[in-house]
Amino acid sequence: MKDAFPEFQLERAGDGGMKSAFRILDGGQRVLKLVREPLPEVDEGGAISLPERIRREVEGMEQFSHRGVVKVLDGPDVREVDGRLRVWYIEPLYDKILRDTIGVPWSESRCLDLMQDLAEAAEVLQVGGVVHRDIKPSNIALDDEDRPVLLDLGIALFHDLTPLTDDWGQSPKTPQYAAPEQFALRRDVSIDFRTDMYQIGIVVFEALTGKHPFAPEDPARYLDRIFSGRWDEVAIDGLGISDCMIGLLRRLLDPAVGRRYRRFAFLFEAIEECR
Amino acid sequence: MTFWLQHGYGKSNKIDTTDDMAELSGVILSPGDEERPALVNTARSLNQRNLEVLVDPQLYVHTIPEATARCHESNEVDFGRLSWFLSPAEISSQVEKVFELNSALRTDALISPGPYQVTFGDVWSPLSLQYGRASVDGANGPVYLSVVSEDSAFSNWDETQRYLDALTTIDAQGIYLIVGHSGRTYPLVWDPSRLAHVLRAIYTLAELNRYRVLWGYSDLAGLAGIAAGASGSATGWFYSLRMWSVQKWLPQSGGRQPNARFLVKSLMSPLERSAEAVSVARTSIGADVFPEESERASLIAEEPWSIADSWIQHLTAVSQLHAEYDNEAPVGVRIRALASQLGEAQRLLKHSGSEGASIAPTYGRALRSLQLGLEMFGELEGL
Repeated sequence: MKDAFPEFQLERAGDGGMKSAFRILDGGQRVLKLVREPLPEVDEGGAISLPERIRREVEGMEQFSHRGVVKVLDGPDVREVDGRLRVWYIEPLYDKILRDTIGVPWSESRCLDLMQDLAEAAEVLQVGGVVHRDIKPSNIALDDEDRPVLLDLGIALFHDLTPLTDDWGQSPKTPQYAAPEQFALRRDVSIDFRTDMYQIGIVVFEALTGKHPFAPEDPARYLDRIFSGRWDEVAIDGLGISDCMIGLLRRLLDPAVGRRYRRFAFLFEAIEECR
Repeated sequence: MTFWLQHGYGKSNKIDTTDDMAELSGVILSPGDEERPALVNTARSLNQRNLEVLVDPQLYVHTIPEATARCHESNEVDFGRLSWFLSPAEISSQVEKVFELNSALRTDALISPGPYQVTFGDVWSPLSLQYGRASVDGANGPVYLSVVSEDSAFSNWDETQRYLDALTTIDAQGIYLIVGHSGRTYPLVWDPSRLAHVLRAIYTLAELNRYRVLWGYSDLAGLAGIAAGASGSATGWFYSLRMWSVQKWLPQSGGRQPNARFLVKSLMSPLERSAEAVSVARTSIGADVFPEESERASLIAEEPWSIADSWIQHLTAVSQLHAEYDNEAPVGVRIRALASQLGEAQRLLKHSGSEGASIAPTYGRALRSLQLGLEMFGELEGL
């Protein structure tokens, strides 16, 4: 890495499913993301084209200017790293990831703020024709004011582009945070912003209770639980959660897409009523 | 106000009289029943009365084999026999014709054209969404999306829900719902589980998704729709305007000789006036059933009563029943109140029968089906 990026002083920060992250030590709060696989394709003319998935992710990030959606500071570009061509780009570095801060139940008011902020970010994506479809605690950073920032548009759905995966398969997803429709054959369902609403529901439930609503650690009948909408009632017992908040979560976590909120504006009104 | 009039053949002065006597929200015009010049005049007079005016484009007629509508040609909405493999250009052209009709009638909102669906997995189902989307994309004002289906479509809730999942991607103001029935008995005896699912659909669309749901041809079941969240329900003077059936549009289907009826509000039943209503009025609970003394006296005296009287009385009484459920109470409260009222109506019917009043058993069965449907709906939705 030193040879490939001599202009930076880098420190390995961690590895994700497709990318490795390196903290840039000299200059600002930034992180360099290096795609491990697949390698860039070389077309017949010898030009290097970015893998479609990475190109979309980065272009998607460039498209939005909202505090709740991560920005690209530099790249994407290609360099030879350890003898192989790799894609890289630079994002802001966030000190905190939501995954590391949930576990102990948050206050209801803080959870309403979280829901509002995440929904605002998802609405910005919706207006741009994008469904994130991978909203989960490890994909949510917290900025200096502890407000959430959506990271990683790696499997986002771009409505005006052709699908990346076979129409006959299932929608790309992280199973523990996927909405029921992401488990169905893609030809039978359509994914829209209401899928993001569902995932926001899981994240907020987890922040509120410290537990996932559908207990994925117990995989037997996990799909039954999410398809029936039967969440872990024990998780909310004794926490003094208001009926209003429970009503909000029930709507977001409804297995039927058509029973969630038809517009983000309706969700915002419902959040306001709970404050 | 939630009460709408379903316009049809032979309107004469029925709309004006109903508006004078009842709390009427608006009228859903039928291009199948009046030629264009007459329909324009009707719409104009409704506008002058400050009633909301909508027109049901009745495209479904052209998706039912052998069905016809007398005045569609005059209203330029005669689309001939349609097939489900229509081109986008054909759909656009039909939607455009509907826009023109609405423009000529100066309607307050547009009802999108919609095909008839036997189930929500029908070959027409995707096209019904396409008609709706094309209407929303091209309209200048608010749009109601047509959903026209048989009651049997609601026997499969999973399929219904999938249809609603797709329907709710269309950003319209409202939904115009028509539920067809194969039975021809009046009053209608519902399959309670189908009714429960119709109410779930209304609840999903109105309460959860905030569409204005207008349930056409719904008559007394429309009260259950209002309780479940609909913002309006419509009925009309003929039986064929009180319950929608494919038969209405088939040639030589004819109509039955109507009975002169009297809608008894406390019984929530349109009894035959000369035999049934009179015999109830003469029982010991006559005063409870008919709290207005003049009404009861008129029945006991067997004062003359025409079919026209019966039409207007029906519409006025339905509108008064509507007013009782036109409120801001939560859906759970409204459905329990209506179920309770239906239970009381059955009790009074039974009591009247026990005193020898001559009442056909259909009324009790119709009330029971409404009550069961409401209760099932409440249980399914946890209300």
